[in-house]
Amino acid sequence: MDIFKKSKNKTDNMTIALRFKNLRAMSRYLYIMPAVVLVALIVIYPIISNIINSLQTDKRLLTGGAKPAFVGFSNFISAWNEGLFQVSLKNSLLFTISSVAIAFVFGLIISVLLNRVKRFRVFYRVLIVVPWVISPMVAALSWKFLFNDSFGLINYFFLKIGLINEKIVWLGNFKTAFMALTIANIWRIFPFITIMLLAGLQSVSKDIEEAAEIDGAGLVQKYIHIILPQMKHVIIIVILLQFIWNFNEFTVIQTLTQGGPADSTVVLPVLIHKLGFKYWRAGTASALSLILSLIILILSSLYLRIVGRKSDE
Amino acid sequence: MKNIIKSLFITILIFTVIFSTLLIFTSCKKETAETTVAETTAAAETTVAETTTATEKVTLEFWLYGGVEDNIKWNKTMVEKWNSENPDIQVNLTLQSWETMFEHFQTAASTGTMPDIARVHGSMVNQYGTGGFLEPLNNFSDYSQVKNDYIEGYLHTLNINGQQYGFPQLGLIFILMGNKKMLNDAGYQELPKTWDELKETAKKLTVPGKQWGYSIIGANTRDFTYRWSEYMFKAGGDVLNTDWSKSLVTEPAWEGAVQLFADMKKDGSLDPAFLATDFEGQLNKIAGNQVAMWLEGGYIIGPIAGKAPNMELLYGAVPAPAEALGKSPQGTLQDIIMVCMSSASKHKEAAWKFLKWYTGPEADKDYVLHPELGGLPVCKASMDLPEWKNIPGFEAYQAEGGTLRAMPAIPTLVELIEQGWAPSILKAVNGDMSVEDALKEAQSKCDAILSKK
Repeated sequence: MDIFKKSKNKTDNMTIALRFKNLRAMSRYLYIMPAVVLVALIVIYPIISNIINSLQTDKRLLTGGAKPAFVGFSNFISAWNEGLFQVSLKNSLLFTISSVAIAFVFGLIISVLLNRVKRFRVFYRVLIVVPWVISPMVAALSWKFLFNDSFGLINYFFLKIGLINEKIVWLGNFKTAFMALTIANIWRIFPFITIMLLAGLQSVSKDIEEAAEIDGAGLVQKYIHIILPQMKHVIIIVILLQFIWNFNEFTVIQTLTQGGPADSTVVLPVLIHKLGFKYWRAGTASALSLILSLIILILSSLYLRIVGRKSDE
Repeated sequence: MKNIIKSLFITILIFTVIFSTLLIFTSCKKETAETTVAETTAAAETTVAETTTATEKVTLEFWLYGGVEDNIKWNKTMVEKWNSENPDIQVNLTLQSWETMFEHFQTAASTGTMPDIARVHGSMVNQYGTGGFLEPLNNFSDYSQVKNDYIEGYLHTLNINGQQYGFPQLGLIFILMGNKKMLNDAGYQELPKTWDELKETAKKLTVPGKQWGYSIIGANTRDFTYRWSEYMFKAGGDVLNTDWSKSLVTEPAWEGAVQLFADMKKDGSLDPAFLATDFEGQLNKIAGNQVAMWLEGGYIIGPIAGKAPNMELLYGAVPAPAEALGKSPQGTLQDIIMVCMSSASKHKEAAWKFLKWYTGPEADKDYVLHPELGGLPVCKASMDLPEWKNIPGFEAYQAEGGTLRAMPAIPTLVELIEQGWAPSILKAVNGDMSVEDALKEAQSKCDAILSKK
């Protein structure tokens, strides 16, 4: 209660003011405390638990409740030597790169068209967003029906227009299953890319565009030399975000093929799920999760650096 | 300086809150784990102490995984019957998905939220029994009397190292089934009995692009294995050697059974979409007259009748090669749906009362009276019922009954199937790999899985 006593001189008044300021500064940390605790519970605790799991006996669930033993980094070695690890890593990279690259080109074209549309602008934008807002599980199941060899619409349509002579078993063929997964995924992710690029396009100054046109730049030249370089940051952010999300993709693949036929479309998240939930190898599954997290972390820090640099500019 | 102290104070405060929260959670988890272990150990060493008195009203949680529509309906009726007759032991039935059974049940087991009773696939006894999550039923005092009600073969499959971790609820034997009209139209009055006959019949019944002689589920490696391995067992093959330390994948019986399917795929009589066919897909193809023959358990009869009410079926034993290829006795795979009790159940005695009634002779007899359910009786008494002979495919089941073989009861069975041999066999059948190379690949994968401690 000392601080409420009437001060005798100017120095005392300043000290009191400083104390109040400090208390106020401190209180803001208390306000965010509930959020910090929540984050600790739902994010930090699972991460720590996963790290502990990755350093303990692989098949600890099968030990009848015995205390799991510390095994060092042997689960990481086991994960590396896992028969499907290299295949799933390769598939993850291939799936991510092909999905993002094709969806980006597709999204760019659509965003350019949408940017030029004058009538029914809102309608088209809402229509484009539909695949993005649909639940991934619902989208995957719809694609499963579309790709069905017996009654799927894709086979029906291709047969009708004479593109194929006999029905293709899209999800049961080693070559076409991966392609089918990528197509389904591109359909799901391209709306986000389109919307982001559209926002980027709209932020490009009309004056610069007009200046380029006066200088005689054609449409393609204008986009390659003027507009796209100005959207550099948006493009990098979109690609990085998509890379992170698609590298982690599980729902579409698990629903459509479960990593099959014969493990030909297995990706890292699907492998982790198999190891952890079906084979009870919690140690190796946790180690693989950490490897996957590390890859994502590197990409995320890249993303944050770019975002930071952009905001500095 | 002041700022540094302030920052330090805040950092310490935040970390203290985070770690104390973590500590609380960790200790809670540890306590649960210790309790589970203590309960399991106590249960294994001593006779189960009754925690519920007869007058106390208890509610048992019962999870029922999977089942076709008629089966679920029958189970619901049985639970209702129990609840009306046993006001002190009420059972709360929850239907769970068969597709996510592994993930769902494992999560429940590792988080200590398992139900008192669960109906799951028999192969789960390996992991959950060894992991200490299931209550050994032989701990109950009247077990030695109760066990005599069941057919020994089924009980044996659910027994790991002398501990009975579950009771069978229904037996599953896969038999050959066929579309009667398709077969009759092609001049066949009965299903093929040998591999050569099977290939010939399947070829004759195939109309390219329209219908196929034979179909098998290939989208799910486990489903494929349970249907394909019948042929391997029929050829005198086995999964592992006698001490379960080595895989027998490269044995002639395996080679013969893979070659049989590879030949049917090559000559076009095996459904070319088998790798994308799941249970529902198979059912649609059968009901849509797209396939002539398939291997399935009796549970498929009800759904077929639901989709194609006028379809008549032929039943037969699993075709065998002209001569045995392996050294083991020629048999058929015995598959089981079991009912088990959680070792963490707080009402073990009540759960035991329900479990033995639910799987016992009375319920089993009622099951036999409903041939549309498709499963086979598991109690000895039911075999004497005249209605048992009315089960569709009775003669085929009778022919297979004496030669039943079970998958090895090892905790790594799921990994062996899904990671070990199935992917390689699928590649060989599809013609993407030679049979010899595929089996060598499978052998090395299986050996690697078996050698892991």
